[in-house]
Amino acid sequence: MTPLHWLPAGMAPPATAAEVERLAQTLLTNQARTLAPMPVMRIVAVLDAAVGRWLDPAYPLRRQAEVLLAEATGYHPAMIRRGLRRFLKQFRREHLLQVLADELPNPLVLDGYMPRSAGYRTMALGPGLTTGILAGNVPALSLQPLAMALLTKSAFLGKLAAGEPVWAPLFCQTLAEVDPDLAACVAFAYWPGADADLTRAALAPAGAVIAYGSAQSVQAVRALAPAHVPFLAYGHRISFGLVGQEALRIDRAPATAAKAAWDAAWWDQQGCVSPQLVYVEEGGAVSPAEFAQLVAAALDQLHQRYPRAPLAPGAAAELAQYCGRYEFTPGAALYGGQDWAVAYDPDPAFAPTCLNRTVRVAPVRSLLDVSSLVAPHRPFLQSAGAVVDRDRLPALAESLGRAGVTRLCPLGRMALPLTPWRHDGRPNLTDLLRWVDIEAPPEPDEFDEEA
Amino acid sequence: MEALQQRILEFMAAVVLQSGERFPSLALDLFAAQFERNAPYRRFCLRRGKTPETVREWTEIPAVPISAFKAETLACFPADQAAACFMTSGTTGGAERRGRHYHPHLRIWDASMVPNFKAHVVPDLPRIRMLVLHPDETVQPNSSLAHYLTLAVREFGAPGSAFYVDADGLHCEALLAALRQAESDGAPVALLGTPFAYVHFLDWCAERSHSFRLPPGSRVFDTGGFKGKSRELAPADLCAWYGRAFGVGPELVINMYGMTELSTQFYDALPRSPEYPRVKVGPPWIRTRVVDPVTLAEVPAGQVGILAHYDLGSWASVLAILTEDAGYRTDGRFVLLGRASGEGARGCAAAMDEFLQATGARP
Repeated sequence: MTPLHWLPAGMAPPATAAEVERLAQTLLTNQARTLAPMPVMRIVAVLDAAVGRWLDPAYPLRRQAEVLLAEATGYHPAMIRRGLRRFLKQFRREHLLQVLADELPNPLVLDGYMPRSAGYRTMALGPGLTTGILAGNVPALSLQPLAMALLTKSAFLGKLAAGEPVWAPLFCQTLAEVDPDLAACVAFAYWPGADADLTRAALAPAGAVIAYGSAQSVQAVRALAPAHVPFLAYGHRISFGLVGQEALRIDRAPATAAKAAWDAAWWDQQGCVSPQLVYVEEGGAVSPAEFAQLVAAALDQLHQRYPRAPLAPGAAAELAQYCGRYEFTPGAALYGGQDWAVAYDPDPAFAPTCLNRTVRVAPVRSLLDVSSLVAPHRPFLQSAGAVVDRDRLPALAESLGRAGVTRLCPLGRMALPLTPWRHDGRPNLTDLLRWVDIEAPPEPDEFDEEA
Repeated sequence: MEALQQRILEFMAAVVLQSGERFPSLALDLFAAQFERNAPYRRFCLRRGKTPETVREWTEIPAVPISAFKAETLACFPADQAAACFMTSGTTGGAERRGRHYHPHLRIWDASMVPNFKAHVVPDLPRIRMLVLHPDETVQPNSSLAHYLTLAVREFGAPGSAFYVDADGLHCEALLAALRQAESDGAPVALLGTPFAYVHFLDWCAERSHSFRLPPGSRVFDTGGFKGKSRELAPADLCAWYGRAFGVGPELVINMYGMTELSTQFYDALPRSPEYPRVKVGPPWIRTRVVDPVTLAEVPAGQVGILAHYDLGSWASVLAILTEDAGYRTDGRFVLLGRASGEGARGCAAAMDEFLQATGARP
């Protein structure tokens, strides 16, 4: 699929390091002229208005995106429609205000000096330019770093991923409809990841870098980035589910399994928030092995409404080998294996699956045992989706948090973090900001006393 | 299975050049015997509704994903009576178990290897001095490659053949001396090893500015990939590199494609082309289908799919295996593209490869 581009007026997609450099300089110039003096509430209003247009199913750019995303990613159109709507709804005015309020006691510090305790006055400055190395094809995911950078009044240069080079450039057309000055501070371009010279040129003038990808690819970007600017890396993660025996009553178990299936089916499990493994507590009316069958039934139903994307040969080979292994493991069971798969595995060792709607179900005696199973894999841990009675949540949250989990949510809501989500446990804005303080001038009588 | 073994041996003994017309009936008979004796495989077949009564063509024989060798004992006889157990590579204490292929004896394995090796590696000479950059089978009793190379030296190695890797590693000085000896003797030698071992040795040589002009007729044999190793080179680059390092032309750079889960090997088709990718061929007792690994339907010629092999040499385990190797069919033979992977994760979720790398285990 031919990548789309969004570039400041008059610029062509960069093909050389010098052209990338010129692009970055143009963004910096535009930022200083228009974005730096723009009140933060205006930026919130522009983003809200742009997102608002995208929530209209008849909006032409959205309809175009739906077609192009299906072509680029293979996701079923129904999943794209639903996924886009649910994700974009998280970036309305009230959510953006929440992000600001969450992290800045007085968001007006972004507009100029504001009084602070002990007589200080203080101002928060974002990077002039934030460069984002985007990854994967969970559509529209680039809105997260784009919106956060813009809230700090930073220009944004996004390197598009080959798998989803579509959504962000189209969204920028909407930004331009709403506020051409702001849109002129944003660029999205594609060049192959192997072109290190172009990537280095995009990173060199950046005041902050946000990189998504595997540990290996993030490491490669880090090596090209300037040493003394914030480098925010979002590596690949593994999320998992937890089902308490109270959710395994005969009347509740099918609904619980449907929630797990739903979370795993979103974006075909490509998102780091989707569960790959579900720990099921023993001792409920429905056993962990039976629960695996319920998840299988639910995934099969979901496949009827939201079919999985077709698999490339390599992904299909991985699925076949993953399934083959559980089909032959004594004591294990395998369900499905084509459009989705569920492996029941008596061994609760923490490990990922082969993705693409492949869920492993493992038994535990108590959900409190899970933290010790996952803790050795802290660098990979992210969301945990639980179904437990309210009174058990505090102890569970305590142990999982200490083990390295950064988000605990209800099962069934794993795939859609609520803004302002702290991705991988990190703040959205303050990592990008630099503070300038003015100490109050001394009172005249201070000199008197010293005299 | 005595009679069946005898029929397979006769088939193999009847020279590589013969046609494969005996293959379909032998494959179906072997499938029936394995269905009867290999209980986990029988269950696998029954879940797919495949029995010796319903399977009419050898192409319908259910192929077992090779991951199954890691999970269960796939043997038609008690595994504790095995004369050999070949294991896939991987760390023993890691997150990943090693696959195990049990053999009650190696007579058929050897009968498969010997004429095939002869035809592709030493068709022109009764024996050749072999310099092996790999341990022999006394050092690695669970390695099918160590057995293969030990057998090669025993059947076709001229005096002076030796293994240059043992428990202490690769003996570069000794190998260097042997290569210099060959240069002064003028008699051709065969180097045999993995790309990883060649890289190791040639890096060592490069640091010391050693290079070689081996006598005419010398050959470089390699097998296996770089998975999980520090450097990755395409076969064409390897071939060119061997040529520069040893003074051996592309027609005498020989690649073998084998697997622990098989009992027969594939080689670059003859005459060996200087162009890559090369086509791979096997003897008449092994056949390959290029399939969609999920549906097992054959993909059209020229289109990339996953290789499924049907090997009569694996008489005592399962004859049909589904690999994780990508390739495409051409002219009734196939081109190997290497292990298909890394496509599972398109988004930001971590998948098995990255996880295993982090935990220090190799897939």
